[in-house]
Amino acid sequence: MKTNFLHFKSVGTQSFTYVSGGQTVVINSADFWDVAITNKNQITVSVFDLSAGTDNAVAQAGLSLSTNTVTIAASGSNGFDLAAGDIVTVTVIPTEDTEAIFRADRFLGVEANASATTAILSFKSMKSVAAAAGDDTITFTIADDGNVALMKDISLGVLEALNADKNGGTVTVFDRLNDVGILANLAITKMVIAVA
Amino acid sequence: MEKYLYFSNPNSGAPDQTQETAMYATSSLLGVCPGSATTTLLHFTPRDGGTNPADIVTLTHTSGGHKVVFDGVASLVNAEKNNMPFQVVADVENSIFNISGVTACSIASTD
Repeated sequence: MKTNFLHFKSVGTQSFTYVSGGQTVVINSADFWDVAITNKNQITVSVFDLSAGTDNAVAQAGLSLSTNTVTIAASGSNGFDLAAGDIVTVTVIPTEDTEAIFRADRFLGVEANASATTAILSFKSMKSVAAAAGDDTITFTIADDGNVALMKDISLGVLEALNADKNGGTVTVFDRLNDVGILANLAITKMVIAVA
Repeated sequence: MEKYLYFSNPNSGAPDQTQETAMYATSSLLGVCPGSATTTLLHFTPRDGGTNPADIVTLTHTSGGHKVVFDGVASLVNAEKNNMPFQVVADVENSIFNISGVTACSIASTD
């Protein structure tokens, strides 16, 4: 039986150009981060050394995270000594909550919730077939949908994805990182993938 | 006709332990997601008839190559290339990897 797989990819990377002062960058803004970063082990940090023209990965031991602030230690403490113009890039480490493909035939539904700005897609769990298993969800944040236009567009977009390829294949519903996919033009401002 | 995905990862020579080879019906594939920068997890309905947790086949691949693996899995599930019921995904013993960038696999089941 031919099956489509619906692909979702969240956004989770941000670059900063260092100027001077403390070796810190602030992450988790909605424009760049769908997954909330609460532990430094969720991210990698690299530094483009402007003077040397090289990329340098910063070891986990050279990082610390306090709320939304990432601090890069000095080079003598496993970090990197930043100079003006260096580019710091923070990127989420891929997990089940950053990207996934879901079977079309395990799609359960799409609905709004109590918020006027949220749409939720549900799939049967990919981790369990137990009756009590929760569903996997993709939660979209959208503009206030007073005229119910966006919810309808999202529903139609999901329908298009479910039936996109009669021979079966991967269908990108929304890749926030690259801003492509069937739902790319619906002004979705956040997408949270939650595999139960 | 149902199609099946085949995986092998024997430690050496003939399989002599559980989880060294596995074949799952494509209808048992529940979903696919990254495990790390270099791994992708394929979740299957447990082979032993249980319900939880899912069996997991981990494919190791080039860093960031998840979308390539997603596309490859979807292609094999749908037998896009040859319409054969027996689809080899990763056969480590014979160095057969039918998804670009995949170099290893491991199988984890609850039985």
